[in-house]
Amino acid sequence: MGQYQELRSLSQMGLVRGVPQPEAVDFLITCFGAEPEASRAVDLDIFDSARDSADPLPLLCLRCRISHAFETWLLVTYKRWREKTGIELGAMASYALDDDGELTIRSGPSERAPFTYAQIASLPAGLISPFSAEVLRSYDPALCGLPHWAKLKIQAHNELKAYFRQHGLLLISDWALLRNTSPTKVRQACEQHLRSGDTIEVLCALHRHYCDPYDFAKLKHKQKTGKASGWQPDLPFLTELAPAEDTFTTLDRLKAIAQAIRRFMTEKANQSLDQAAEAGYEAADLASLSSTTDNDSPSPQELKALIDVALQRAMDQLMPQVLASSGSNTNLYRCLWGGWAEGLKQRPLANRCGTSQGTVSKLLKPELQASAIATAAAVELKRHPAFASCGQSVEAAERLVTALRNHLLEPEQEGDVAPLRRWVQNHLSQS
Amino acid sequence: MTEPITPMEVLPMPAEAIELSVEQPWSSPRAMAVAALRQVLAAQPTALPMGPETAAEDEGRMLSLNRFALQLVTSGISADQIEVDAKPWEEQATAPQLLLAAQVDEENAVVAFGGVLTGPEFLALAHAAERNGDQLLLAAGVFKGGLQRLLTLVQLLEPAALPRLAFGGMGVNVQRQVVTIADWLGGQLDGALQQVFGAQWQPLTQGAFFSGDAAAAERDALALVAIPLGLDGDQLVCGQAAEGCIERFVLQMVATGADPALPDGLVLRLIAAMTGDLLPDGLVITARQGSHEQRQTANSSTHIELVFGGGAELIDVSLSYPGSSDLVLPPLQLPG
Repeated sequence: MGQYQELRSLSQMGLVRGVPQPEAVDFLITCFGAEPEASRAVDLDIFDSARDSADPLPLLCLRCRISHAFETWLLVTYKRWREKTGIELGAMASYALDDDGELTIRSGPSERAPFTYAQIASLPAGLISPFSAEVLRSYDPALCGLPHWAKLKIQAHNELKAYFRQHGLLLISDWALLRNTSPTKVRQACEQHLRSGDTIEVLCALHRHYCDPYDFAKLKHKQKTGKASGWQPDLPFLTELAPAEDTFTTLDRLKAIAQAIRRFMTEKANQSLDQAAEAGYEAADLASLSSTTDNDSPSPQELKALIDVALQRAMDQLMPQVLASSGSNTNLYRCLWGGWAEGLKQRPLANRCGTSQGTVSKLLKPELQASAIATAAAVELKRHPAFASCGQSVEAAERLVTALRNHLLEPEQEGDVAPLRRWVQNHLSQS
Repeated sequence: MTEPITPMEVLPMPAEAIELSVEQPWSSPRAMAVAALRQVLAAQPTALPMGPETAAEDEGRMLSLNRFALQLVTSGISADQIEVDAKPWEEQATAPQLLLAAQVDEENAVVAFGGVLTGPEFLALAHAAERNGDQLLLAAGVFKGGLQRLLTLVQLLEPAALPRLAFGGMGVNVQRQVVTIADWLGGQLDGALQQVFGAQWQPLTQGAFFSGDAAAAERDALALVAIPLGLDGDQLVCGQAAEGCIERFVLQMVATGADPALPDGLVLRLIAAMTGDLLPDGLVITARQGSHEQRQTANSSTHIELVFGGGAELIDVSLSYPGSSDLVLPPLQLPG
């Protein structure tokens, strides 16, 4: 079934499914003599019909069309991040695929009106429901194609942003991405990942002119709305950016650059993961920590005892606060730390505690706690002459903290339990 | 055929990112960074005083954290370059001791502290940094260690251990401060080479440092100074910044000569930090003495080297790598 006559919608079961719209089919056959293939020309024809008539059906066709664009965008994001973050397609879709195909729209506390272009254009400013109505009422065909506009709008959806943030993901708009990417990186990204008929020189020149007008327009947007998010380029902005070009072409070029940057960043992110896997874990080396070598310096056993005491004191001081600072998630927090202390990895931890891997990685940060404990212990150890050099040298300070942190997280011998895990086990068993 | 890359539509939140209220109308990225910093400091077991109490959000305002002068710079969260106001670094009196980078996502109200540079680390990078008026552009990746590194340094170090260093004393102008190679024989190492580039002087028993076919070339070796180098992504870094790199290598500078008190030659050699490893392909060392220029490019190489046979003219040495700013050493001088 085509994109103008099937609405991709979220079912009550939380699944995305296609809902045929027979009235949309009738409208298309009346207008086009057949069910047309999706294209920009057809989008524009139907959009003109919607603006010129009081009939809700042309808008319904466009609502269907948008829902396909939403679904594609959501699926790409979901497939990439579901494993790592535990995002759910149903939850994501609830923000965008909330259109049930009704031919009326809520126009007041208990009133409904025909779902026409005139009606949605007359509704007060602010996010309106369904989201497709918000996309369509703000759409200007001179700017870009309708599917792309749908993508731009979803990138600026504040509630969806908040959902992603809860799962450790950041929804960054193309506009911020373009602003924050250096000319050098734009060129590299375009050289490697450009999918456009334009030359790299043309695109780099456009990007060079982008930042100042963007900063100015963003500032105006903040002053007007009080928000940093939600800005979209308008015709004056695009005209100022490239006066000799039509605005549609300019936006298309900006989109091509942003996509090239995203591909470039994706490739780099994948390489970083590979490199991190190869690099492995930095070895703990408590034996190298002493800064004195004369005969009066403590023996390795004495140093070890000093370190153990300092670490124990720092754990006693810091960890109870960490384990207690759980707010409304006390049980979940205890479950996560308890599982971690037993040596469970992220996936089994998430299963045991009935949560997502994303939540595990967000709430449970033993490396961070280990660094804080190591620093606190190092502050105490620094008072001892054997460790005095860490007050005078960046390298010595960092070497000491790194070694202490690694010692907290790694067992000294095979079969041992790492000190931080052991502390958490003891603490949880007593409380 | 290469599999096409599906671009990331969302980005992973950096580890240790701090989430601020999305409801609050933040006046600027810096205001968000200051708020995030205060949030972290408030959660520390030990009180770490930060000032100024008011107006810390003002752009360009120097912060004081536990008696350390701290410059706070911000960028967008996906930025690959960070602008650093160079004005405070013009004079020793105003030069910060630490430089903290905060990457701010205004749209999501998230702040990620990329990390910290000490004064010497910053000055080493400033040499070759792109400049835009008073702003120096540094790669975002050169800031290391996140906020934890800042907390470690301000709690463990004595403030005097991080001197205020300015461009005039040791920064940009250091490129024109001549390094006298003869000083190496007595164990003296130019302060700028040591502090800015992390160079290490090593006593040399003639020829003992080298093995294999390199030994013959250095049978007249008199002194060795080594600069640790690394690739941080595509960025050439040196000194301490190189220690955390996966790709690490060393620039060895060997003073040579038949007279144990008078060097009359210089060998510049790049080798991998791990014996037998290959240097990164595309790494280039260039050295010029007067009109005589030598250049070597690593290509499946375990080492590359340049040899100068004497002359009182200054030897300008630079290292480059595709996509990186060049690393330019102060001019070196052999006795005439």
